[in-house]
Amino acid sequence: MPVLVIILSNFNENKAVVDIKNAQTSTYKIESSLEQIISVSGQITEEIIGEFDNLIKNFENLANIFFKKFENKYFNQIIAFGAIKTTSEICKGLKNNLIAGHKSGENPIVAEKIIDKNYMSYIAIILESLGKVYDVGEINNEEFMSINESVRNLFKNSVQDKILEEKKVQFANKASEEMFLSMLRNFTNLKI
Amino acid sequence: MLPKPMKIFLESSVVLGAAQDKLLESPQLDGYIQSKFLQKPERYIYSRKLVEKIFELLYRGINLEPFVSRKVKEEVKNLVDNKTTMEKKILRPLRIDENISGLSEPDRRIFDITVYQIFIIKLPIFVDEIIDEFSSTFVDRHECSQIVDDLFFKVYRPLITRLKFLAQNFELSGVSEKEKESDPDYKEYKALKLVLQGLMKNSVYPFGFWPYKNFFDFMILSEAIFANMKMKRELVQEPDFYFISNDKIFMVITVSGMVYDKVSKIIKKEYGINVLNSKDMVEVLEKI
Repeated sequence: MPVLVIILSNFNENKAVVDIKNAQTSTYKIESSLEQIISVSGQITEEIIGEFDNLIKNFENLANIFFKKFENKYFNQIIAFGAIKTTSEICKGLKNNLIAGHKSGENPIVAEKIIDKNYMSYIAIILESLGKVYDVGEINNEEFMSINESVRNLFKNSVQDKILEEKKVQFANKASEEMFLSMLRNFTNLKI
Repeated sequence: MLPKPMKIFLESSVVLGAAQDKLLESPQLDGYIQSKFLQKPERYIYSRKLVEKIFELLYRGINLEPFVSRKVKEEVKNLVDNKTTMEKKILRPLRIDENISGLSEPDRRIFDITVYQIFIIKLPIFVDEIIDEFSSTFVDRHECSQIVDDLFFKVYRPLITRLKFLAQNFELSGVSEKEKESDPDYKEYKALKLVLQGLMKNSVYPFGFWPYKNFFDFMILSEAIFANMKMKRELVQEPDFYFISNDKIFMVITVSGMVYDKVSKIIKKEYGINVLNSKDMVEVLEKI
């Protein structure tokens, strides 16, 4: 039994490293394909959509690995699992956005937005930090900031770009919500 | 005669509390997660009520101004960007551990991702947006540093000295617990210990050295004192100035029936500032 456990844990370890490397490769490939679309081809291809599928698959694998890895470190589990799943959702949104862009014939516009808002760069930073976290077995403050700052930027951009649909924050009391919102509309541009 | 303008300085715990309370009602937390696994500390509820009340009064054209300072923004950023404080000050007070530990793995996954997205990702974005709606006052760092010294020596050092004196009486004297309870000074001792807890934790207490200049709460209050002095100099009509904080070091507390409000009274006397927590400030605003 212990042998099996060791084999399984080594397998998981190697798998995490492979998944991170594969995800990094996909990220770079997507980035250069997007640049190609903008400057040369003007066409969203099957390859780039397939690369997004690979990236999403790797993120889903990593979510499972990190969830187990930090089973006894609760806060680490929330950060790692939450960040990976959120990034994965954003990748799905980006993929759908590209498909929609292809259908509507807005190929370079969609590609340009992804490049201009640094989506792929933030994903690369997250992967880099996850690699370090995996090696050390702990999320230190530096990685905490690096991961969260990148996910926050991805999140903010993807809500603005309607890549990720954010649900409206609701108040329990409808009347107070409406009053609050009308006040905010009059005095502020606060987005809620 | 027109009523005095109100200037309301909101400390970081109030802004954070208001944002947390609002996010606790996110539809993502709907159903059983909201009620069974997360709790709402009272200070969050009142902080949000306060922010809502301020907006309501502004809407009605009441002459008041909510504002923050550079240090408040800095402290909020420190809180949400630091792993340890994020866990200790934001997530721990919210979660109900005994219920969370009983979750099945699939439920735990849903819970983790929801908590992450709401409190680690959305909260800092939302707090920034709220802070942007308030005025931000300019402060002179040099003058504020002098105010911190003044604040410590006039308000807090006498209290620390008193606490040490009472500690000697009650902890080293061998007086029984029953005798202590009947001594009126013991209530004061317990109140002082509670109020000064944060400051003591950050200091080398037995040697009488307190690195109060590194104490964020002092720096924030000193910025408020500076802002009040500046407003008094510059405004035609002297405002009613309120410093709102949910931190123990500024709060009026009740210990075994005794109301301890010495800190706020001294600050009012020395600097003309009303120190209140969110709940008491809501009551003040309700009367308008």
